[in-house]
Order: sequence, then C-alpha cells, then structure tokens
Amino acid sequence: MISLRNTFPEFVLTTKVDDFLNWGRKSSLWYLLFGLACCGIELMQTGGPRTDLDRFGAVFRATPRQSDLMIVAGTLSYKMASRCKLLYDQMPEPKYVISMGSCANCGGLFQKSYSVVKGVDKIIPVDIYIPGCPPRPEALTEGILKIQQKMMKEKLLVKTNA
Amino acid sequence: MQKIKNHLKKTLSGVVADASHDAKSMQEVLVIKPEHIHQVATILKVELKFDVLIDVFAVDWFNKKDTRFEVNYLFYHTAENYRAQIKALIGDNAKPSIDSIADVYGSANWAERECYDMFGIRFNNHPNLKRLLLWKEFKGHPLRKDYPINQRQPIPVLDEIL
Repeated sequence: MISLRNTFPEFVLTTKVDDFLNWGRKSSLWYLLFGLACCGIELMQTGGPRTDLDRFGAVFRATPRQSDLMIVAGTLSYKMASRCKLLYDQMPEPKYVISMGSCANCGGLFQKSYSVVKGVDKIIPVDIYIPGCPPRPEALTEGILKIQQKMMKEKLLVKTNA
Repeated sequence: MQKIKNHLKKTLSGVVADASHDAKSMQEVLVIKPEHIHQVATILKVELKFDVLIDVFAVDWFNKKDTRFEVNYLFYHTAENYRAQIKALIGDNAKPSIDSIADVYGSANWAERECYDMFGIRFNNHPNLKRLLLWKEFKGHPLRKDYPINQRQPIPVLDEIL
C-alpha cells in the first residue's frame, strides 16, 4: 500500500474516512437537558460562559430525539427510573451516557434510602462515571473530553472482527 | 393579635385538652382529640378567619404506648399574622385514622395524601386518598420508625406513565 503522506501540497489534508466521521460526531456532541438534582446546577454552570462547553461543540438540546449524549446529573429515584429509561430509549443511536456525581454513580449519600436507585447503571448502560458531590465544571468537562476520545477510537466503516 | 388569641381560646375551650404558647415560633399549640378535628377546622375557617392551612404532618412517637401517632395542623391568619398549631393525638396504633379536612381547606388534600403516603394514617372522607410521592406498588410507609432500613421494594413499571 502506497502511503499518501507528504505527497500532496500543503493545503491538502489527508485522513481516514472513519476518523473524519468521528471528528464530525465528536465536534457536535449534543447533550440532553436532564438535571435531576443539585448536579443539574453544576451542569448549567458547565454549559455557561465560564467553562463553556460550546467550545467542544457540545450544546444542550431539550429533546432526547436530537441528542447524542445523556448526562444523568443527580439523584435518580425509583419513580424517575422508568422515565429515565424512556428518555434513553428515545435517543437515536449511537448514544452515550455520562453518570455525573455520587448519587448517579452508586446512590451516594442516599444509598440507604427507600426511594433512590443505587446507581444509574442499574437502569441504562453508562460510558463515563464522574465522581464528586457535585463534580466541579472542570470534572464534567473532563468527562466530555473522555467521551470524545472514546468516539475517536470507534470504527464505523471498517469491521474490526472481520 | 390579643383579640384573636382570646377569641381562639374562648371558642375552642370545649374541645381543647391542653393549650400552650410557643414563644420561639410565636404560635399557639392546642392539643385536641382526633374526632374533633373537622369541627375545629370549620371554626377556625368560618368564625376565626384563619385563611391558610400551611401544612399537615404527622409524628411517629414510637415509644409511646397509648398514642403513637400525632397529626399536626398549622393554620395561619394572614390579616393578624398569627399562627395556630393543632395537635391531634391518635389512640389507635394499629390502624390510625382521622377525619379529613379537605372539604374545609383545599390545601389539606395533598398534604393529607403525603401524610398517608409516609405514615399510613387514613383520612376518613378524603376525596382521593392515594399515594402522593411514592408509587402505587410500594409496600409499607417509610417514615414510620419500624420501617426496616434495608427493605427492598418492587420497582415501578413503565406502563404506569404510558
């Protein structure tokens, strides 16, 4: 196979189609507005001007049908669990989930409570867990960057197991 | 304020078992029998013009043998800036019940439902006595002192909301 590297003039960039698609996907990571408790306030702060998530292409959408990423920000109660699953099911593939904060990770402070789900991963699959109570905006930004790294590793066209 | 205080004591003298003044919260604390609650609420609303029912809540005195449950009502007189707390001591420990005052004060409707949800106190003649916060498959009443801390509950199903 002939390498095309350094064979074109400087204004031409070469890349793989997979990388190009992944770059496009990771740069328009729309997340669902889904704040459940105090982590939701921190989520709003992260979307705000100081730690501007928009610069990574992540903007909030008010509907799950247009979102790629669900950030479960806060305490998930049993009564909310079925609603959370419903929202997740409405999101189009490929979809990602960030579990934000101690409550979403494992029940946190309310682990002994009669009404709180002991971790959102009991309901839906989770990609990234962010510890903290609540996590600082920098921590959430780190989580978004980790999701982007994960997206860049994915292969959409080439079958890896073939 | 003094006028309404005297009026309160005079009109309710027949049913009040014990009366005291809580200086810290600046409110009258009146202890009554549970069968008089509807009568007392009607007097407070119609004659004394207490126009707001702030809250209805219960207390579980687990170690008291004769009167385990106590239902508290907070009434507020907006014109006089005056509060009255009515305590009803319920004798029946196994099946606690008291008359509903939802037909006198509309705000008692949801407050009594929450009280039923958390303590299992039945409000007779309530228009819609079902759980307010927890789901309908939930067994037991979690704010009772004998509710087991590690009790597992059936998880609500999705059909409930669709």
